[in-house]
Amino acid sequence: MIIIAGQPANIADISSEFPSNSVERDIINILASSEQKYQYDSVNQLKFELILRREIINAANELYASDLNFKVFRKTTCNPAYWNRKSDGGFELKEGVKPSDAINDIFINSSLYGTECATAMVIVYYKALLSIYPEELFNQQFKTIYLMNWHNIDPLLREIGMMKQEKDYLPGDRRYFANPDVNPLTPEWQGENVIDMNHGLYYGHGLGKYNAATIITELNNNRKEDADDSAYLMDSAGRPNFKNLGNIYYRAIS
Amino acid sequence: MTIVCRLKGKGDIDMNRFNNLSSLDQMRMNRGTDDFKNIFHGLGEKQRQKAISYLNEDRLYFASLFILIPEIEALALYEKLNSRNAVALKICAKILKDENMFSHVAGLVSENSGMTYSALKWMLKTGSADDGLNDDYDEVMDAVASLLIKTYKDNSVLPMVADMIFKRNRKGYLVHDLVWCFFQARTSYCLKLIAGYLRSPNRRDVELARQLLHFIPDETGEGANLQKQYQNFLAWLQENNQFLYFTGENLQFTSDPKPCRVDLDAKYLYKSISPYNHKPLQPLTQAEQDHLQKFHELRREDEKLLSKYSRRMHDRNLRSWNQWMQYPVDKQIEIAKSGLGGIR
Repeated sequence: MIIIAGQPANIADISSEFPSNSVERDIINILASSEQKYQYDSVNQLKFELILRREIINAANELYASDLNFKVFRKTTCNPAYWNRKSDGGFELKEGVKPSDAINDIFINSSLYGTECATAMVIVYYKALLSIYPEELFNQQFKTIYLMNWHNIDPLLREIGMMKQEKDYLPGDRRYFANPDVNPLTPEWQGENVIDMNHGLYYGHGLGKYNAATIITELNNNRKEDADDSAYLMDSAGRPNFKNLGNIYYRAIS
Repeated sequence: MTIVCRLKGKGDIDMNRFNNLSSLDQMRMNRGTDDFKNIFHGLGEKQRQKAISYLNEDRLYFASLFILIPEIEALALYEKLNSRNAVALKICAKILKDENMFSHVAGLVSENSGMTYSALKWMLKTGSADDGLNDDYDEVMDAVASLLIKTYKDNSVLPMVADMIFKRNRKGYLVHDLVWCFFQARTSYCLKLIAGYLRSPNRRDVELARQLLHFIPDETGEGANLQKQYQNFLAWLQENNQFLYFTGENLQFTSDPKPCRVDLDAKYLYKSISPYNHKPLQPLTQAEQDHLQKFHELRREDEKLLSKYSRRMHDRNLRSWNQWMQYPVDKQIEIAKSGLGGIR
């Protein structure tokens, strides 16, 4: 159920603003039919979440189509014109470089970059925000960027690193497939961070865009010899603070 | 009296310890890595047998063997390696996916599980001090630790692995895979080892220890000293040890992994659980199952209250605990909230 400013939302009105078969409509349907009460201060606040979720999926598709390599932290690569590669394998925004240019470069010169699945998720969030926020606002909000899985995350995005059990899982959520019996020689297969791409598909960097069963099979193929436990999709999701990010956006454009 | 000598890139070392090192390790510590490789290469060309016997010395540290891999290849010494060294290099080849090295060492020994285990143990025991040598070496150390912990269930290596985690962290190097395999041991011993670093004089050690133990409620209050925080941890562990289960959460999954959690059901019923699969070690009786059913209807805060009260009451007075467990859950809460029995 969707509640806006204390009142049940007019679902038909909100839905009509988005094309039929759009991901936004799919999300509205899940929220509206849920037993959980989803509360928003305004229609705009809800709309921002819908649009950001759409852009998260778009950014994931773009990254999937790019030449970004899969590399474990020890072997990560980046374009030194925009990023400093740090000793832990993370990328630190270079001084004097525009944050928006640096994020865009990952998609433009993608073959120069290589990282693992969690950092790829963080890149997806930045790119999604960059497609909504005016460039000036983006650069003002994210003056320093450190790309290294869920560490040193910008305070504005800290919630993406925190996984919580949810009543409903939505397109644009960050999910995790765990592989408890992974082969100790290939710890990079200990799990896969993914974006829920809608229609039962998930995008994980290094794996691709597949349904849950295929991802589980792939992870199971990288277990230790006497493995007992199968890989599985964890019952939790990471979500940015959509409301806060939306409030920043509306304050800036008003 | 301790005589200390200064070595290239290694700082000071006790003279007695130095004299106990193998010939190659003395050479490496005296001359630094590059000179060491050159000297060994020269030795291998002029005195092949001596080079071989040096490589196969019992006291050799794994780091020296690892550094000399290119020289071993150049001098065609693979076939002269003893079984410990051959197995160790086979393990390295697998970890680093080095097909060339693997082709040289694969047929040298038909190792069994015991040989692999002792080679792994030697690699970690003598190699952990040189962690940070280079990326490949660290990758080997990560995998060796992981194999010993996950495959061979050898918890005796945990102090060494904890030491490597904190040393790496001080240098800003990658610790995620090591932290992951460390907690795969699924024992509260891991927590104790990490907690020891809460008292470290090094700020980065304390920060990492706090981060890794962040899930433990801090009842010391703002600004408490490190000793108090450590004692808080010990008290928490004593209260919850037998009710802990390990989740497998890691730093790839979340920014605030909780590697273990307290099973409130087990704590309430005072039933030990398996840290692996989170199941009671002994089956529940019908009465216990009935208790749990009511327990699960409570709010989370009341579950915490009852489990804590039950745990403390059980230790203080078993008879009173047995009596308290007979009461309906509502009455149990009433008693727990009033602090009857002197337990809070």
